[in-house]
Amino acid sequence: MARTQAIALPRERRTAAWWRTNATALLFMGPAIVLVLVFLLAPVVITFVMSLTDLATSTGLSNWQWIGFENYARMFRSQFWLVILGNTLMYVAIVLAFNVIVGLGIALLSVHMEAKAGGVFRSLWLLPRISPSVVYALMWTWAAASPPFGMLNYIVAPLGLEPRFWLQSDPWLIVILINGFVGASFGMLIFTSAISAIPQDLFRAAQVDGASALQIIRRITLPLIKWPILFVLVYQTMSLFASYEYIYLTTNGGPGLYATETWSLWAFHTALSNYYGNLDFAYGAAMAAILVLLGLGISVVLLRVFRFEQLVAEPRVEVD
Amino acid sequence: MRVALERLTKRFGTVTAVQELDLEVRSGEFVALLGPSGCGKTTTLLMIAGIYRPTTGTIVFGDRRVDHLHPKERGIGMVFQSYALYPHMTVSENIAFPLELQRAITRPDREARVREAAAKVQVDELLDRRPAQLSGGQQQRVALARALVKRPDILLLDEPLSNLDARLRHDMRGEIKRLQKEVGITSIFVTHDQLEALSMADRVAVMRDGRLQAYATPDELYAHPVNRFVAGFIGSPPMNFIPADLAARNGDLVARAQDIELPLPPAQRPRGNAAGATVGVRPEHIAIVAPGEGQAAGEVYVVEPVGREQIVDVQVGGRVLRVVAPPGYGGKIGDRIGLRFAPERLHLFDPQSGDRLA
Amino acid sequence: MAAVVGERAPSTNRWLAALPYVVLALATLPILVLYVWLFYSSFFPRVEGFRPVGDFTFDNWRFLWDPLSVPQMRNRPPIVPLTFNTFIFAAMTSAIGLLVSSMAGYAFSRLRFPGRRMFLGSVLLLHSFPSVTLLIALFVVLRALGLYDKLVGVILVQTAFALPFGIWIMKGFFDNIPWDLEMSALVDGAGRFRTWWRIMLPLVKPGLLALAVLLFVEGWNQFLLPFVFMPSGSQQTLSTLVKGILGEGRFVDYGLLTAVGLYYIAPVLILFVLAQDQLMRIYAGGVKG
Repeated sequence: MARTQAIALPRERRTAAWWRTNATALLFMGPAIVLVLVFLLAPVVITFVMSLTDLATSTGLSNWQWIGFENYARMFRSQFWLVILGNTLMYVAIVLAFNVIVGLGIALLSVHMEAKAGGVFRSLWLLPRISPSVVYALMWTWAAASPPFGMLNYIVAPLGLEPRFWLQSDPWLIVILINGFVGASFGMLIFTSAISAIPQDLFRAAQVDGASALQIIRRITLPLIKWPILFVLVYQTMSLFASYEYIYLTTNGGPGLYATETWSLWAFHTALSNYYGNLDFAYGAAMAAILVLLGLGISVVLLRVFRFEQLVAEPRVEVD
Repeated sequence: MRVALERLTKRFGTVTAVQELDLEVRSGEFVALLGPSGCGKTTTLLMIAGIYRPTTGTIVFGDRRVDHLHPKERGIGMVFQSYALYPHMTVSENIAFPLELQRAITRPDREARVREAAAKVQVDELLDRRPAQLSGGQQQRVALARALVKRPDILLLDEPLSNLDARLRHDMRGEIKRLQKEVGITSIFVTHDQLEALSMADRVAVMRDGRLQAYATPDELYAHPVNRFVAGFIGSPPMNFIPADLAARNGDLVARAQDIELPLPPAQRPRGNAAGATVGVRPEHIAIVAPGEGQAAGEVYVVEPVGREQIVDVQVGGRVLRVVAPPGYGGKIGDRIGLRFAPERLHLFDPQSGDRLA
Repeated sequence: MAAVVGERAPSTNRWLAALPYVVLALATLPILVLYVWLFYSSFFPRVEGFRPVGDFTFDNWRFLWDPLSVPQMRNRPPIVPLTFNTFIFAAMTSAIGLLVSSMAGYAFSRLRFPGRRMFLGSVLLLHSFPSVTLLIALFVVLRALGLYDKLVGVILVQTAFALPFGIWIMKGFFDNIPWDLEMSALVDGAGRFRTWWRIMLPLVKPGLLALAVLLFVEGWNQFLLPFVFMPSGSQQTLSTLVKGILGEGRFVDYGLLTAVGLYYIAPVLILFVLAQDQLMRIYAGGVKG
């Protein structure tokens, strides 16, 4: 009755009817809406708005002013922005390649062995992901530590390499290894479940046809997990652009000036953790805004290409 | 309690699932909604239950309009096709669930009613089991007990027998019918199986493409189907249809197809003066006779013994007619035979609209 | 159990069948070495590479019973309150996250409401959006709300960050429950809230457990949020402690660090061993659908 007669009702009654019909949904969605609004959506907007101001420790929350796109101009005037952009691109490209190739390798190898053994290997690779970042970073800091502690020195010794303090001498190697080993598990999990979803009969048929393991991988497995691979590539690209936790915990952008500083770490340093004591929130927000924009763009692509339509099927019960 | 559907329509987007449905179920009556899949029968049932809202039209229980009410306010019990027993609850918890929601019922009272409902459908030995430990037939009974325990005014059943094997289906058919009469509850059930509908229901509503085709007692539906669809849907094996011309001969009206000539008794004559008609005749109303006798000559195409009787496909001219023959019939493929039609059992339908002519 | 891909014919070369094991073992070795070292190093005065210097000792662990004798621990909050904070942080984010995402997940799976498509779209978008880029704006939000430098504030932020994932996972679990059960509960006289509480939640219990463990582990591990948003005082968590000791310069006391690190990581490792199958499934499911 509420539905059919609502048209005839005065507006207050109609509003009341609307609230009544949607009260249940509001009850269930309410907490999520509030949290997402306050801590996710509002910050996206605030990031952009803030980037147009001069908000910093020195101005405080009350004395700031609008300065238009000055922060962006300042960013691209900075003598370091090209270095940092270069760092970021290199970091993303190499770690991405490491993650996807290693993730794919583990997935393929682990499904070609006894299920139990495969599971054990996958669990081991998942360990870095479920470990606290500080502890995981601690382990790599040790591995790369100066003599006589670090393990890397003992490993390369037979190759005739001089022992050294790797975080200082080869910071990029450590940054790539630490992120590579933690990120590979993402692709590994996706690829493994994608491969498991391929009908067994396809593999049996190929074996009956006399295909070798490599042929099966190249001609059957890989073509069939093309979309998951693409998905992991896009998703990881986005996460890598935004990630800086492990770099912060190991090299912290160093050694020296911006040697391993990436864009997101630059934003973090500028706004929340720098040596000068003046936390430049607005300037950092401008740097982050670029990443937020990038993240939003890639997410929209992900949504479009990968999985939206199937998810919005209408509920089959019309009860409030 | 009486149930009345008035001009009930349900649209999902651009698809009309149920269109302008008028249906009245008398108090205590057992009614079947029958039709092929996608005909709107389950949608209708779910609207009566309150799971779907009608797009337009009204639903009346007794003399109370209910189409805006929540399912819990409608006083209905329902058995689902999958039985929908809650897997995490025991049988007794399942049956008690509807009572649990009624504050007025005290715990001892509730337990007594659970036992009573369980006893009525003979699952009182199974109260501590979980649904997964029950057979299909037992699950069916538990679902019935759960639907009846709160003493609803109306019982709804969605394809109640489709998940049972053939043997059990037959048993449950009788039991549900008996239970319905015993409790005296107004009941509506949905099925796609005409045999189920005919054998269980007091009245059957035949639906097709969201529209009501016929609403009558099983005897009436069988004896006087209102249109060709109903005629073809009711009865097994299905009715034979023969397109024929109508012509007068010696003052009698005759339906004539190639190789077949059927004189129509006065009662079977169509009103008006149609030139053609689709003649429908049930397999059980054709008898196999010696070649040269009867109104048609044919050749046995195939014989299927089904126990009690034999179904014989007979090739007559360019078409195959299906005939029910008695168990002793010993025909072979290729035998030449004659066919005798029971003239008072012929049905005439309009070749275009499919409506009954006489 | 057989391999996921095909059963290998026995006639195939032995060494070829062993190849995946050898390659994978070599590739996995660095990870294994790191974790073995973590364990090993905490029981020796010092370890050079893999060579222990000195005798087996519990001395590195004395921060547990005699924190004052450990110089690095002196001007830091005591370990017990830190552990308690970490636990509260993880447990609260897990509990709130579980409640909120199972409610919203149910709504997305089962309820009709205006804007459902749009909400679902934005949750999906946020699900893959790297929320860590919002840290700077969140700093301002927390200050404005008076929640900066408070455990509650960080709990809410962490929960919000976990929500898109949690809602997404829970929606998936609810989607798998047959509609008949929902309809049946409604006809039996339950409202939507009771249907959710009495029928749906018990049916997704395995999913709830897995998500609870996952949220707990992520909360327990969280470093950046407590580090940035609770810089001072008694409400810090274990991650800040480890970071603090680790950041104290080049000549780090690895014995102490590994002991503290192991202490910190132990609950996670235990949970992982107990629930690894569910965790792996939920990790894979959450990103792929």
